[in-house]
Amino acid sequence: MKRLLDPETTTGGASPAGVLIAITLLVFLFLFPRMVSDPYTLHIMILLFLSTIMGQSWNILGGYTGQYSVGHAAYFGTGAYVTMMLMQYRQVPPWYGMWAGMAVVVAVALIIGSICFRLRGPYFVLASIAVAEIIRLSAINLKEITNGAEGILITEIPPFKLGETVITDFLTKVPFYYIGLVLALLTIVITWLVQRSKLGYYFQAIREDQDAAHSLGINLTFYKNIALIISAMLTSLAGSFYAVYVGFIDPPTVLGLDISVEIVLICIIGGIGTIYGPVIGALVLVPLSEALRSNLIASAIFKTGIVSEESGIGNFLKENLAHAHTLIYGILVVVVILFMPDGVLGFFKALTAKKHKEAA
Amino acid sequence: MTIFLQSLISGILIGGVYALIGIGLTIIYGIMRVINFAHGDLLMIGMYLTYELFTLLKIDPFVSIIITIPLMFLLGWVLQKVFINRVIGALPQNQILLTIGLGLILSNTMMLIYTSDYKILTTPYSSSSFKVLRSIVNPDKYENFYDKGNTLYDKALAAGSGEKAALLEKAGSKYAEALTVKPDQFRGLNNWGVSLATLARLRSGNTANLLYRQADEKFSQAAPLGDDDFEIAYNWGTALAGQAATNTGPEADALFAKAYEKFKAAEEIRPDSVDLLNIWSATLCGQARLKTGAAADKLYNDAYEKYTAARQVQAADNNDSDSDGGTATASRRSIAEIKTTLSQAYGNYSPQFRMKPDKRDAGISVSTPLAISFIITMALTILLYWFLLKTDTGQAIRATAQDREAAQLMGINVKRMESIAFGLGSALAGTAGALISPTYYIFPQIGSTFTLKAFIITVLGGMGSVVGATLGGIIIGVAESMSAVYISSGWKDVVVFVLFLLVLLFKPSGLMGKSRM
Repeated sequence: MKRLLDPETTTGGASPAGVLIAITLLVFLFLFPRMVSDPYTLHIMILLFLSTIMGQSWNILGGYTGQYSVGHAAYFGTGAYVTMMLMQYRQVPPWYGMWAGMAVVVAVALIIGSICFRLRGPYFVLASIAVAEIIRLSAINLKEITNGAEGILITEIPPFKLGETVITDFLTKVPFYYIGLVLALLTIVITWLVQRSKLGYYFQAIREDQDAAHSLGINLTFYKNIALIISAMLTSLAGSFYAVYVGFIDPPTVLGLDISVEIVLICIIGGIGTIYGPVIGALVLVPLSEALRSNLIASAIFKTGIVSEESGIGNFLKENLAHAHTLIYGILVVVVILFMPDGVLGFFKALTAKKHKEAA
Repeated sequence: MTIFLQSLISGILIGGVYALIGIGLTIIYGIMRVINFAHGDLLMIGMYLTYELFTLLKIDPFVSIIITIPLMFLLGWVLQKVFINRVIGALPQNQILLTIGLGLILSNTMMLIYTSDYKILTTPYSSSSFKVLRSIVNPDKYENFYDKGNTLYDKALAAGSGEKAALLEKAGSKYAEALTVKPDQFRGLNNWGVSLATLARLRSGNTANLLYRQADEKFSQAAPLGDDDFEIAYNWGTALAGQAATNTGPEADALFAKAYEKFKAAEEIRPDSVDLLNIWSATLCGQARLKTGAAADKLYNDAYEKYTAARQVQAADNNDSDSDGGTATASRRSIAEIKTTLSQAYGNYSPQFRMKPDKRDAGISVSTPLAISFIITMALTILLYWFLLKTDTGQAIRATAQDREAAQLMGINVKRMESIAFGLGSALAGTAGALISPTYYIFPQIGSTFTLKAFIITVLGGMGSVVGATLGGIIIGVAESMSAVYISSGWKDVVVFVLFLLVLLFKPSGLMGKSRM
């Protein structure tokens, strides 16, 4: 990747119009639950936030530092499990549990880092998968602690109290919406801060050329570990948030290889190493996979009249399309890699640049 | 020791299939430097192909590889031309993501077609197995002696009268040894009793009596251990009857009565045994011969009753309807008639004892489908070696793997080699899928497990080394089955992953890292 540092993405140079748009968008997002109370719409928004957090946190390690971890489910799942186990067995409320989750994840990340960062390229990818698989299999086998393959189901979340005042009792989706929004904004801000800091330049130097960075006196292992810890902590937050929101976790849903791949895909589809990439990735992936899952696509096909709902193919689509929502991930990633290797964002940037040239 | 050998052999057998998967991946990597994350999904496609060929056209899975190999080669060829070709020389992460995407498309398309239900391909030999190393590997001492005793007894039955006694004595001593190891085995006690009683039959007078008494003792020990065991009751009764025949007077009567008791017990367990009814009738007959008058007549009548019962069971077994008439007239027959019928029937009757069969697991159990697949795997591997070493195309492939530019300069069509390599890798993965389809569940997501295994195998053997992949496959197979036995089946994959990490850390070039193909 010989891309020179793009001043537009590295300084985040904001024009007054951009600031105005950002503020309007923020106000809109914060007022959104007042305008829309439909639980399904809120659910989609929460998933969007969650995907943004997941993608953005991977972005720090994979996008900026160039370390393609395909084992981020390890941090997502560990965060989810620690939070849920503390809540279930020790009655620790999740807003304390998630910090404990982060602490555990940091320890796990340091161990993983010490193993995997000695390796480069494909070997690093394979090692990251192996470590995540070890954690998944351990979660299945350590039945006394994790309840094994049955997973952990919580029916009641203790109300969030500050002192004696109850802030929220988590009865609707609205508190989750705000938590998700705040966490997503937090990860975006952290990524932005990292990108602008000296740390961010070290990361990008490692991504562009490890040996050159090393010869300039950058301690590779140290900075890779820093990137990993930041990335893992944010992923752990996403995991805790997911677990509490859904109320149920088991090894395949929070520790499976699918989760690792999904995290990478969000970033790849949007465009790696950019602030907006994961947001765009989430905006593309979540609605598409939800539309498939909830059979919106199937009913849209019926509406066009190409296939009638009663026909054999119609029935087949209705029954099976929902099960194959990950098919869209596969198609998307192939299309993105072959035709827009810099993600959707990079693709449109290149397109506009081309038009600029033609106009000039 | 047995457990060790058992898991070693089953590990090697499954390792052969793993090797096939690993070789496919390593050839692809060797030629294109692309890590194929869709490898397990190609294997899954091979499984479904085999499944369809089996259910639709009734083609045996092992025969169907003749069709699977060219089809999978074609699929690989097309995938390479359309997709992989475009990312050769691109960033490794992009190659990895592309193949991950292809894998997702393959598995999800199969899920659309077949849903995510588990399919089972049941062949007549799917769950069958056979034993190897029977004479060498024995689970324990008791079984060892027991087995020897049984062999000696069988020999004795076949031997002439001269050797018979000596062999029976030896058999008896083996059972005795077996029972000093484990005193509470009714199978051993029964067979010991049988060998004693058979020996007693060869002797006469006091020696016979003594042997019968010993046999009686063994059966009396065996009976409470073998819960309601037909053979023990039958043998015990038969031995008692034999003993009674060597005695006279009230002693004989007491023994006869005891024998009938045992026969009755045996009858309660299995009322339709022809052998039992025959020996019972013959015994009654024998006792009747020692009596006179009404007592004898009564015994003859009883004997005849058993005799007809035996005929009835036989007739029922043979679906012979004529015998009904025979039984109808039975009660009206005179004693004289009965006598002649019985003496004709049991004149030369010599009852057979019933041995407890060899039920234990001597030797090492080998799953038939795995054994067949291992043989096919080995044949294919040898064929592949021959192809790579001796044929022009094979040498061109190896040349491309060693130095792409040099190969191109030498006039090798590198692009074609890439397509062949991917086709070959795909065909090998598909074949592996076909070979394991009789023993594994078939479902669309099975691929990822095998993709991970394939990586571990190739990294272990050294990326790009065919010899290494063969070795790596067998090592992983053995490591898996060993840890399943000695640690637990839940942790076996963890052991394999830990092994993988250790190799990555301490010998990232793998076992055969230096030699490329």
